[in-house]
Amino acid sequence: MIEVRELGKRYGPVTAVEDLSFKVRPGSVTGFLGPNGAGKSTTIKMIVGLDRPTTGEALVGGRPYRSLREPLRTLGALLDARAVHGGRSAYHHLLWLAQSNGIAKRRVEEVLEQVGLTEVARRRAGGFSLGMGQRMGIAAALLGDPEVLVLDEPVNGLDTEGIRWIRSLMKDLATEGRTIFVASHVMAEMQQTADRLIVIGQGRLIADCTMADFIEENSRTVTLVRSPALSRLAELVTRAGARFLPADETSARVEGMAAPTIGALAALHRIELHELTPQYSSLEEVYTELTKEELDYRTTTAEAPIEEVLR
Amino acid sequence: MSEIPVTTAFLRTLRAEWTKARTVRGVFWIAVAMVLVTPGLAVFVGATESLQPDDTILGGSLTGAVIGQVLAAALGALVISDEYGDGLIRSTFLADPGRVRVLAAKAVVVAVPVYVLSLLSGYGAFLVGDAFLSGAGFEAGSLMPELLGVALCFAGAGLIGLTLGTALRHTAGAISAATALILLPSLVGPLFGDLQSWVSGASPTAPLRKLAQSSDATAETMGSLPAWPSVAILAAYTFAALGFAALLLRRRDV
Repeated sequence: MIEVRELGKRYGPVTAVEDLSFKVRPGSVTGFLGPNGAGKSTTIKMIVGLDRPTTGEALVGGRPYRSLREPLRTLGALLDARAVHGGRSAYHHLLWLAQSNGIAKRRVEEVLEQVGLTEVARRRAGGFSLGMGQRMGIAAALLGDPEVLVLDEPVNGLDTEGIRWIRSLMKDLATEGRTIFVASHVMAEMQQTADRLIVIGQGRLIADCTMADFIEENSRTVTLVRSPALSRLAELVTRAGARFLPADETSARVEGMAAPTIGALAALHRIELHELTPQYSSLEEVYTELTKEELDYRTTTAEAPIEEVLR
Repeated sequence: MSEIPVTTAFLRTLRAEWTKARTVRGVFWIAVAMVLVTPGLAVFVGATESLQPDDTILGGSLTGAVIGQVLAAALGALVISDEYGDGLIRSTFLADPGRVRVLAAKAVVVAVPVYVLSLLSGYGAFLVGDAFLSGAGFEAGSLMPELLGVALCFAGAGLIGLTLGTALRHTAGAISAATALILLPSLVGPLFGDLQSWVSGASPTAPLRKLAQSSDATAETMGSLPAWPSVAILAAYTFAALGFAALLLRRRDV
């Protein structure tokens, strides 16, 4: 269980995280989603005691990370695949980690086996591929058999086989009743693995819900219609309470009315239709839209219609 | 959650830090260079008899000890600055969030081996110098307990390196700063006129020179303070600096 209470972090005039509160529960994979620069890594660094919060607190199993006695047995973290000395072997890296927390040497061999690095364990880690480095980071996170796992962008730079491996590992660990917290800036990745979602933008909480609820609440049905009698259709659709967004002379997008209803309505009023295409907005689009207004660097001035600018 | 005794926690971190230090090549080779440089220069000094008439054999043999101190400082710096270079410091503080404990463990991992190695190196240098110079009319100089103090000066330099590595978080910067701190006072000392003995006398090399009974260690150049009180001063400001580094480490984000 991870609990974040009114967490905030300021770097001089820049606010990286503001008034963030959420809980990450055991037994499921919780996705921590937000665009790059939203404050995900800063939040994680505060959870694991590397960065000091400006306000609020972050607790792991009810205690601040810095007060944990054998922290690797409580929380395993993958922060940065390259947080390793290139000249040291995977075995020695894991060995010193184990020694620092009073973990048996045998466990080092076990996690090396688990991530499939036994063969190369005695080689210098500097020669490892990105995927091997990531596996070594996972091995380090699993070393203390922790209840809580925090993974920051774990699939970064991995090939499809590696991505599949990490996904099934996270699901298995969650099934065992552990708390899995995975940060990513890619919605599609979360869609595949996460049961719950915490979405942040510009350091603030945007959503904290299950993945199913997130999809339900945020995906809208948009239907593309093409018709020579667009204005009549517009009138009917708008009267029925849906939104009608003309695209050009003969086509428009209808929001808030399903395609069969539009078709029935058109047939009833003998309106000729040339196209009727349901377009479900992907979660990626929803997420982009949701975090758009939260982005630091907006491009609205460039996108505003020229008339509006001149007015 | 069961609480772990303070000593157990420290021993675990110490063990982990020792494993780290012995499993990278950089630390090993700097230690090798540190051990060899003083006896190596003693060969040169002995073979060429490049001593002042009033020098002792010990003083002449320890000519290279200043470079040895610089290498000890480099070793001390590397033990932490290297971790900042590759992000390993995060793993270190994830494994043990007790940052002062980590620094203390690193200090032991630097100071104890440097002390033992530099004691052997200093004695070795004397044997080399003596092999060339005995019978050349130089006094041998007193070996014990002076060599124990010389080794303390090496350990002190190592801890100064560790302090600078902690404060600057950058290997090249820390080693440059440590080198300057060790070598500059005796180089720029003469520019300070009457204050020379204060500037050069406070440097980490001054107690070593005095202990070696070198002809360089005159009252004008390095002050009239005897050797052992000079060692005490070095120890005092080394530990003060290390304490300051510990405070920085606790406060800063990683």
